[in-house]
Amino acid sequence: MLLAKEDMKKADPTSNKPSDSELLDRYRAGDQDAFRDIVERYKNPLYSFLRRFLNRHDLVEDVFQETFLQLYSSRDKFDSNKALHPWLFTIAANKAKDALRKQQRNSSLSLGAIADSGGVSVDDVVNLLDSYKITPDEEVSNAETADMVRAIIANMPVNLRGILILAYFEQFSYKQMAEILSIPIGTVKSRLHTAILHFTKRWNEANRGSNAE
Amino acid sequence: MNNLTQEEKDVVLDFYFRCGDDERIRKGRDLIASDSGAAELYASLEQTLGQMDQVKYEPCPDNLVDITIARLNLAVSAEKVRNEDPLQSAGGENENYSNKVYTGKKWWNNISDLAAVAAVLLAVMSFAFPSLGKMRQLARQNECQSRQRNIAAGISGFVNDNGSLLSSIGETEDGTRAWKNSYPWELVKGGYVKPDNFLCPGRKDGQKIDIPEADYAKYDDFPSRRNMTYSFVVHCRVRANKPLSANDALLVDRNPVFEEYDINKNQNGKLSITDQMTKIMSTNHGGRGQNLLLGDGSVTFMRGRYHMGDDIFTIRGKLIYDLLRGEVPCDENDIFLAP
Repeated sequence: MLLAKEDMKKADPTSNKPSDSELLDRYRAGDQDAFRDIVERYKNPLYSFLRRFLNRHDLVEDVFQETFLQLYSSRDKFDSNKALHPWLFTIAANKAKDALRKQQRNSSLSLGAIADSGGVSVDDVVNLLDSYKITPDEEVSNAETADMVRAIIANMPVNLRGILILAYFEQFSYKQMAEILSIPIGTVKSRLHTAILHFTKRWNEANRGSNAE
Repeated sequence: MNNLTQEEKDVVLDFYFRCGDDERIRKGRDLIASDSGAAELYASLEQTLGQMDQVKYEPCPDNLVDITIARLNLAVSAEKVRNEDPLQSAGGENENYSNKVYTGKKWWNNISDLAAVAAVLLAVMSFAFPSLGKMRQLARQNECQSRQRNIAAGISGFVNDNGSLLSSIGETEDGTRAWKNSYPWELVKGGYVKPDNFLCPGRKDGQKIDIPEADYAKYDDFPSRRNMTYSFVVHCRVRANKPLSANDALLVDRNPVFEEYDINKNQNGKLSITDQMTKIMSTNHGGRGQNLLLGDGSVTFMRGRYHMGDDIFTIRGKLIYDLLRGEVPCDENDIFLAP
């Protein structure tokens, strides 16, 4: 994985950077530079999340801007004792889903339906992984692998795509994901299992396809 | 790895995603270190899902941050003005607008709006497979909105650098230069907005500027009307120096009224407003409606011509326009975007 969550959580004792709540407090007191600091602090993780989730530049840029505008207009509702990171992603995830819904209304192209995630257990995940003994294909370059992965993620149903990105790339906890997606923790786990099954099946199909060529 | 209990499998999965609490993550680490089945499950997960690491991390482009900050600044200044404006804070018909920052238009505010939305949804559903032409129209509409937002970012930059809010293209001493696009051109000359942003992608007759950038300073307006296919706000003289507020109309797809004027018909610069002229939409998007840029940097696609209860394409009560002299609205409630 790209970055262990423990590494992300570790506070840097040498850093003098203000905390999120300090920045928001400063901002509420009229310091506009504090909001710029917040944008600078979260621009890369947020952009990266949206790029993976939406996979379309125009939508990504719109949702990115709308997320920070929403953060601004809701600044007084934020509880300083809570972490800003999941709140920001809650806004972004909702805005991204709205954008996809809007796009779906305007387009006859399927963007991936909402997949039913009920009844999938960790046993199903293990059984599937056990049945697929994937042999890494040395001939496939990293760039080709990245293209295959991007295509699989882009074609995943929206709810599975969201949970996989939040869990794998953003490494949110179950509790945080439940808050971000407004669903119970049990549903988060079940949906994540379904997302793993989905990805594994599609990856295996794609891998067999590339080996056959 | 099938010898693991369900709880052990869960622990390995939680460890892989680091989704559990610290205690559970520690438990997962210990299990993988001591149990070959758990280690095998972890390796299988890594072998499959680990491929996602090939999708490289993409940093946020700088211009996106600039545009976002510019829109925030516009929202902040709009809110300040609204809070300080006694007319708006006094309530009345503008009360709804004065209590919140508009980040996008909420169009489901009441039951009648909801009914309208339901009707639109039914209409959309009846065209389950829109034609390619319609999809292209929507793409142009979206691109047009994106360009208008770029202009908003440029306006914000201009305001920050010059310490003044938006002036008016109708603001002149003698009236002879009214409606010239000198203000938008200042945005281009100053490098705040790329000139192509002033071309609506929905029009075919727009032309890119064909003079070198180094020569921009020699011009005091766009070299040709075709280089600017939008209409800017024209203020009355009283309103011209008033600060910007969130619902102020700044720019819109080209005003259709003036496209009815035929310069070859020797009309002495006079344009009579006909009944039909009060109904047509901008031709930029095929007469279906127009994108309107507001003071908070948001863009909305209007299917009608009324904003804040006023027709944006005409001057209230005036039926003959002197195009050579230019026309400005008589009061600040009369919204007018031209030419």
